[in-house]
Amino acid sequence: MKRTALILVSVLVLALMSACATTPTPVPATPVPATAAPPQVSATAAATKAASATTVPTVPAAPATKAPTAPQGTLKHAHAIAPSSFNPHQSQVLLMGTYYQMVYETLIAVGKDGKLAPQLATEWQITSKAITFKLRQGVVFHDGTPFNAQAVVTNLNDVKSGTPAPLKADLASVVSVEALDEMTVRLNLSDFDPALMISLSRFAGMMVSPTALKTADKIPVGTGPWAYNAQDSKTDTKYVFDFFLKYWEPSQAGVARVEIYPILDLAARVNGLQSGEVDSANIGVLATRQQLEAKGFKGVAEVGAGGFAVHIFDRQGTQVKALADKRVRQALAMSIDRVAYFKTLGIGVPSVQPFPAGYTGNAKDLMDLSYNPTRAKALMTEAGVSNLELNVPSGAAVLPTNQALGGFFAPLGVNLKISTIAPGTIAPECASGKWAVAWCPITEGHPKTFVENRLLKNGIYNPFKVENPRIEELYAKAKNLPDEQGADLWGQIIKIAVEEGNILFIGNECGNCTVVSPKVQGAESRYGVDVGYLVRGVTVVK
Amino acid sequence: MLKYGLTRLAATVPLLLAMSVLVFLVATIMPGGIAVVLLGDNASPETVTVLEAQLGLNDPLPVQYARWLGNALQGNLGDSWTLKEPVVGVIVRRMPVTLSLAVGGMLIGIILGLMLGIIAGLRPGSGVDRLITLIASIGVAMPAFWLAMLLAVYFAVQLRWFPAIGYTPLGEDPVKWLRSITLPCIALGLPTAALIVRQMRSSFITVLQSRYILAAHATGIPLWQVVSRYALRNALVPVVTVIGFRLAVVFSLSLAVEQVFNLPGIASITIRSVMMRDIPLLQGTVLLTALFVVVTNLLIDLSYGWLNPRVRLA
Repeated sequence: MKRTALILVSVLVLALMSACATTPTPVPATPVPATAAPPQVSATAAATKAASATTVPTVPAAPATKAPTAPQGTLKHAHAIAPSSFNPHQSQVLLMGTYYQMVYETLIAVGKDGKLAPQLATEWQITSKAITFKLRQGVVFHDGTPFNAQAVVTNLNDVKSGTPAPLKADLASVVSVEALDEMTVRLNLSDFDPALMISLSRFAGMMVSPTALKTADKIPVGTGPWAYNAQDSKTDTKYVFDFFLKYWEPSQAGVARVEIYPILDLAARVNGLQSGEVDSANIGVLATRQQLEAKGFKGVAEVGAGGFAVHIFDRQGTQVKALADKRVRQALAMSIDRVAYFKTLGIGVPSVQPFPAGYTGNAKDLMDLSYNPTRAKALMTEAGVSNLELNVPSGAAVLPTNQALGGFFAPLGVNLKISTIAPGTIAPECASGKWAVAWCPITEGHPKTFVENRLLKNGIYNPFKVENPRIEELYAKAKNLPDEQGADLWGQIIKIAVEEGNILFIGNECGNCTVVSPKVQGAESRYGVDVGYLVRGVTVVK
Repeated sequence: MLKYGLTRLAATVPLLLAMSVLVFLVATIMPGGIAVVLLGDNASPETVTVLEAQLGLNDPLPVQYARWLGNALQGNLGDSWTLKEPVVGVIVRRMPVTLSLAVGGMLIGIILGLMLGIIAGLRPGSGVDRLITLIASIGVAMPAFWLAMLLAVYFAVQLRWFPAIGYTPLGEDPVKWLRSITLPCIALGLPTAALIVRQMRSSFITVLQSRYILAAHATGIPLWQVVSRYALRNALVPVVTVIGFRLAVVFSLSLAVEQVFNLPGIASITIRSVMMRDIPLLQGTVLLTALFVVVTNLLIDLSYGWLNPRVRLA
């Protein structure tokens, strides 16, 4: 008996001891934040307020007025995904933007007013065949490599020719990139592409240190306010970013350190936030967000870079005859109570069109497609449709939304049958041609790509190849015009698409919704900026 | 005994092989695909094709499997598609967390279960016995993940006695390590204890009614000596079986518990590999889990011989 007990206890103790071994922390070669004092940069900023197909003078922006303050404190963020690649040129995953914004900067940024603003490029000139950027002086990558025209050439070529190059289409109009001098770079274009500037403000325009491109998958090296700290990070568990002392505009960084914890489970993120172990967390469920707000936490990122919308693919009635009637599609649009949806389920702002007021693509003088059940029923009666069955694909994440849509459509005699699909497959399903109607994601930042993908005959999300000659005609006119000249045409296209019930929009939903603790100050989101909430400028009070 | 052990060990090889085929097939027929995960929802078909070719997914399934098996036999489980590092390294790094939970949970379960089981078994039908049986019944019905959530909300979020998320390695800070695994271990240990209590109680009552125990009593040996010297050892045989099964179950229950407490163990990486369609990682972790269950069962079988020599002779 004693021997048995001894053996059992020994085995358990040995197992416990082996279990208690320290988890090894990988320490790859990494750039370390520099220790030298930050240089005072007084670059002349410029913004494109006007552009023409010929030559565009740049407009200097007002110098920064915020007094530089030393970053202090640590911001701890619980994120819904672990990084799959730190190379922004190899990903289109929206939630990765949270990681990228620490380390990387783009040539141009999107300002609070939705207009393009300088970042690594201080001024630019646009012609029909080229965009010439003047680059910011005194910027260095975290590994000490100077930021210059050659770095831009290397980066943009990487976007275009890397493998598998998921962002290649964003730079489709760029024929070549050349360094004119140390701090001037020119993008030679096949045709002017109004969406190109938006693309350069997103992942495709993020600058990776040319000397670190090969390893950027695992170790990010950019010019941003925070440098990746591989020593303190633990793969898949904790990612640490420390303020980069040579950063060109120290006042932009509010905190000295940012720690991102990938936490896949929503309940664990909520617990972490409530226990004070993290200061902010991805919370994409409205009910949870409201509970947290009731406890003093603050929800940010109400308006995201895209969202979802009901796409009516079968507008010629190939699969579902009734959908060929515009009145049926309009009735469906009017049956959606958008306000109720955002009070009970969605996080965002109700809208019948994809682009908010003030942004290119916003349609003026739209017919009233807001919630009107009486008018919707009347339209169905006019169309002679009383019973309609629509089959839609749905992953678990959007199941509540599809169920809500089913509830909105039911009074019209429309039965929404929901078919379960595997997680992460909604976009390919939307493009597959199997579904007459589907609730699909929208990620385009500019109406040009939105129209190309969803409304043109050969658009990837127009699987029934429905052609609208008026849209094709307007697109042909607008596609090479700068926004200042093309905005009205894009608005007209969106107006047609919305009024004809091609896409039933519900509102601008956030794709990277965040809740912050009361200790976090200055957290804000921005439409069209796909990084979730902006960590720059955020401070954490003790 | 050695021959018996080796025979049982050899029998696990075809089992593991069958398991690897099954896991491979399940993983490859999962809809969605790694390309969408890595490239995003709006990846063009052209880009998806390039990535799939890079990952060798265009080869026929038997070729893919043979390649994986060939490497696995040499100890190379491939590279994780999402973590971009060898699967073996990921498993080795995460193993201490899962073992901490499994061993800690089992320790709590065994100590508590044996103690309460003996107390209840000594006085069957008494008030103490009924109370323990009632608590054990509730414990059996209580899912570990639910218990984990309750513990997290009350002891971590409200009282802040323990961390709600994260793990600290023992070598980094022993106190923090203990605090980080206490609630998860309790969540795993209490349902285990409930099972062991019921088994121990029942087994103990049966043994105490045996003639040799009555004879020992009759000779005037004190109760504690009868219990420790004669009754306990024989009563433990069926309990060890339960403990063995439970060890495998605790390993799988840690899937949920690791998620609730965001612990970077094997279980959470397995969930991640399923969600992200990371097939090499999934194969590696499932293979390891299968190996763990097989070896545990083998050890349990062998322990019967130590506990009861009649089993060895048979």
